[in-house]
Amino acid sequence: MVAATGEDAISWGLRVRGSGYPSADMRSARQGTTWRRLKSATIFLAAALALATTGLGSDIRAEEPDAEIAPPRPTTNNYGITGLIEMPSAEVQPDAQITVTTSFFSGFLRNQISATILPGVEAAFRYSALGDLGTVPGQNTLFDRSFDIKVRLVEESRNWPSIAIGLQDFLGTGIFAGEYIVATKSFLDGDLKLTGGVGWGRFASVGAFDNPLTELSDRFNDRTGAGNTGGNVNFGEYFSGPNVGVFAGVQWRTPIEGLTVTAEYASDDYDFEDAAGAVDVEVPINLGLSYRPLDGVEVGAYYMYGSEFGVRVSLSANPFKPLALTDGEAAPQPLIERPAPPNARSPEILGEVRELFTGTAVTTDFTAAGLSDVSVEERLGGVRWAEATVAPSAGFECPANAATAIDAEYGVVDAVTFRHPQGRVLCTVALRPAGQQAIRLTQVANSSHPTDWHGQETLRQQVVEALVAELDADELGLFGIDLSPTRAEVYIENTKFRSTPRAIGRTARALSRTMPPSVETFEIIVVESSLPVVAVSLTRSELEDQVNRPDAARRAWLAAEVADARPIGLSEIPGVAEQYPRFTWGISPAVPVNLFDPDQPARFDLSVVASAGIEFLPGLSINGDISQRIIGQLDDIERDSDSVLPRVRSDFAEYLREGEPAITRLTGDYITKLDDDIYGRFSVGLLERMFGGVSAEVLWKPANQSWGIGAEVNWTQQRDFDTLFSFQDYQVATGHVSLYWDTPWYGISTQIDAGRYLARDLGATLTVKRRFANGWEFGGFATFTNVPFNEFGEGSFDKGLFLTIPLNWALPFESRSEFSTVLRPLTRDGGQRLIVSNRLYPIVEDFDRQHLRANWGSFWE
Amino acid sequence: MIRRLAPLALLAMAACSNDGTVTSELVAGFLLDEIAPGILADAPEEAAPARELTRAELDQIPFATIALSVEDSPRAFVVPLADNGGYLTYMDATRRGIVMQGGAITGTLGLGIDLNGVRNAANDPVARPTPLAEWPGQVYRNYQYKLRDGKEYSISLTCIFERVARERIEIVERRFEVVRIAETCTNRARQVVNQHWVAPETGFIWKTTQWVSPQQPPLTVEIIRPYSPS
Repeated sequence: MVAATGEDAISWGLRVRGSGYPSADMRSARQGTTWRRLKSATIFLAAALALATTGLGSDIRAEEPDAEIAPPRPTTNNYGITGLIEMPSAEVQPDAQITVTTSFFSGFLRNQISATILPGVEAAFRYSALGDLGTVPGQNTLFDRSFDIKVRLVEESRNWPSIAIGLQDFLGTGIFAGEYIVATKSFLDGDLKLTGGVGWGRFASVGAFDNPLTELSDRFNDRTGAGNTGGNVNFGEYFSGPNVGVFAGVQWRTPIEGLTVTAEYASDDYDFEDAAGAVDVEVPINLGLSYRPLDGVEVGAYYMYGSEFGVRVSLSANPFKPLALTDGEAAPQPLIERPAPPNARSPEILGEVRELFTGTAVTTDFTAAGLSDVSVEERLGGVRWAEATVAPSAGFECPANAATAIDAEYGVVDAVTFRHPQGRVLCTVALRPAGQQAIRLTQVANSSHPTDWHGQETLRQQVVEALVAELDADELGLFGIDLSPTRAEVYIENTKFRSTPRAIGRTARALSRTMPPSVETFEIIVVESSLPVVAVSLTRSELEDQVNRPDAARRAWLAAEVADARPIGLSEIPGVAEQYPRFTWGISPAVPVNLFDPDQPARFDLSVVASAGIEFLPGLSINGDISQRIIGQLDDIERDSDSVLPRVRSDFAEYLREGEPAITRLTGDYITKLDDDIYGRFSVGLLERMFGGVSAEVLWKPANQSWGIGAEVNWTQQRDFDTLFSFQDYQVATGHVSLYWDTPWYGISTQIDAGRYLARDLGATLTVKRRFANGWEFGGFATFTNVPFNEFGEGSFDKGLFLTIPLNWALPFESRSEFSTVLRPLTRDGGQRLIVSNRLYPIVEDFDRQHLRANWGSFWE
Repeated sequence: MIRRLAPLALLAMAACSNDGTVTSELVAGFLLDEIAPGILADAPEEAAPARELTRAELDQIPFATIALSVEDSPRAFVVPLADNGGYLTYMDATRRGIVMQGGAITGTLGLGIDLNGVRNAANDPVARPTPLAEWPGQVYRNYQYKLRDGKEYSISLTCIFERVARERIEIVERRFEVVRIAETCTNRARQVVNQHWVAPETGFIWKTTQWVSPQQPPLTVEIIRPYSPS
């Protein structure tokens, strides 16, 4: 039996997405006294607003968060779920809250990671070490993995308590299995909370009465309890058993900030553990204190069951509440508005332009104004523009006040153009800011700037050099540029800003500052890993009318055009060919972790990974990674694989022992765009730590579409354990067809990969993750193949959790670096997919319309 | 030497030229050459508290200028780098600053969680100079932000104006006869009070202390030399 996790499968590491360039320097901008005071005050006051938001990067502008009136986050129980001490409550943590909890009492150590995966839905994974309960000869401790889920059915209101239903250990061996329905009501402005619930299974051993569900079906009479091999969902046993237990509790939030007193009547009497002599339950009552010195830190101390003392520590974070609330980056350079064109023809079209914003009293009666031929039409952007002919007797004076009469008569008119009966335009009056903007756009549209600069090579070169300097100031790279008299097509590489719209916005500002006035269209093409991914087209005059105004980001988004970037030839775009060959390198720490081995449940290594690459032409490169362990314990793993499948992963310990140093990647790669929305990749060499061979992939993912399809085929051979250049005999052809879909709900992304895995098993992997606008991700995956559960071994099927935390969530400066980890309860051989470093979808997934929209709020920042 | 120039870092300035480029080097050079020597001549190596510029020194700056301060901090003197339809961007050499529309602060730049914009009423006398006699009883404002979690949100306030007193204020050695207006802005979660010192005939705001966000202390702006778009 192998109860361990491979180093490749779970490792804490710091990685930089994108081209592999070194991450941006940590620059500390020099600040004067004023700014320092602002920043310190910002930090002090930031906590109040950190309570901010609900919902996820949606395009709905939220109103002011209830920062000052939101109640404190509820406490976590010993099972890592929101609750009292041992019992759950009906409360749930705020949306997206992630908590790591360790609790200990009477020799029982429980480690949990829990998350509010959707508003009102909590899930937890638990790894327990239960002393004196060992079932394996010579092993006193029982190690167990389990999963919980709790769903809040009713949110607390003035008259109703919150009500929740939960399943404990619903996917595991069933040692802790139990179900419950619980209600919680707050009193005294939330200082006092009462909880009461009923439970089945583990929760049914105290205060029990007959299970009323047995009246519905005999199925509810039987409950076999713990003992299966894990990995199975035991649908048939939920809410079953002869009895239902009752539990209750009270929590009092003391006047001492962060201190809560809890008492509970627990319906779990630890019958099994008591019988084994592992715990002594005298009374089913627990008392305790929990203290939260900081928002993300909570400790608890308890007197439990009349005989034991227990402790708990919970560390918690929330993607919506960055640790670093301030952003120390320098502000963008101002956008420079062009001077009025010298040959504006607007007088012929608009006449004299006046502004008479609403708020001005209507001084002219509409009927008395003598207007005729009044018409109102909607023009670009929904602007309501009226035209009217003045009375012949009015002469050629602009009857500006009559515009207010038209506004009153026709309702919400943004601009009015008055004509003389002879046809001459007298004037145009802006009544609202929208009308003012429309007038300006009309002026721009009917004017032209000199374009003779474009014919002079020297001037063009000066323009490009100025742009490069502006982009350098923001650490943006100019990949290529194509200038025409009225259009600038710029290809940018962004290795600094996590938010792509922020990079686009800064590029737009740089263009406004450097391009000659005749350049009206900015097409900004984002280049990622030498692939032109997405093109965003912006109109300069509209940007000039948006900057610094209210709703500027929303207006810029509405005016922006998002399209697939077309493939480019090497010599097609000036400046591209000169950049090659390009070298990349990097050195980063890595902390591979091995968990859940009964011999030692947690092992760590500290490694250093050196990476280097040379890119000869766009997308054509050679890349290598070498990993060297500095210190650690992973070479102590002694468990041998008992797998009956080809040992494609379960021999990972051999690789760790013998692979020092390990060439974890040495590949020749070519990635390219086959069409506007089709990408291709070919890789050959040492693809990953355990396999080498060839890999080819194609991906169809239009930028304006939330889903895509990919296909990958690989021929691979297993590498020797020394992880150098030799191979074992095992060869396998694998491949998958993949469907990707970014749902419109809560940032949830799904992926289905169906095909042949490394052990030649056939099946599919479902991956579901929740992605946040600021770069957080958490989710899980499960793989089901034609390998029977008993042949697969412990765990029944391959599954895992993953978490990604962007570095700039915790640090007050921009970075695209992130911490990322995958947590697999077990590493077996079924359902294992080849690891490829440069799969296409992760390269392009952040650049479609949906993701740009989610982050567009930072366009002007 | 760099530390000795810290006061001038806040003074780093630029201006727009008719070809659309920014001449920050030109203006910074002007400041260092013309003003800094007098200030820095006898400064100790580890600078003592910075001495504020005098009116005579400020008069050498050929641009519109404001003094920006927070609570009791020393003033920072800043000039506008861009005029975008009446929204003036004031920014220093470290690219921190504010955006103003009339006398209203409608944006902060590089100060952490920035104020991104303010939607104000067409008759808002703080944003558009209005003779004091014509000031409305109340106005509505919407302050717009984006948190670092990527989420945008806004704070809506209803503001009422109250005349406090006629006062004579001094802004760097120059005196002004103004009326102090207390502006109280409220919504269900907060109440903030802004102070404006207003020239009654023109409605021009010579000095103002304004709330800009829950994360930042009120900012005080004093007009050293008014901006003119011409």
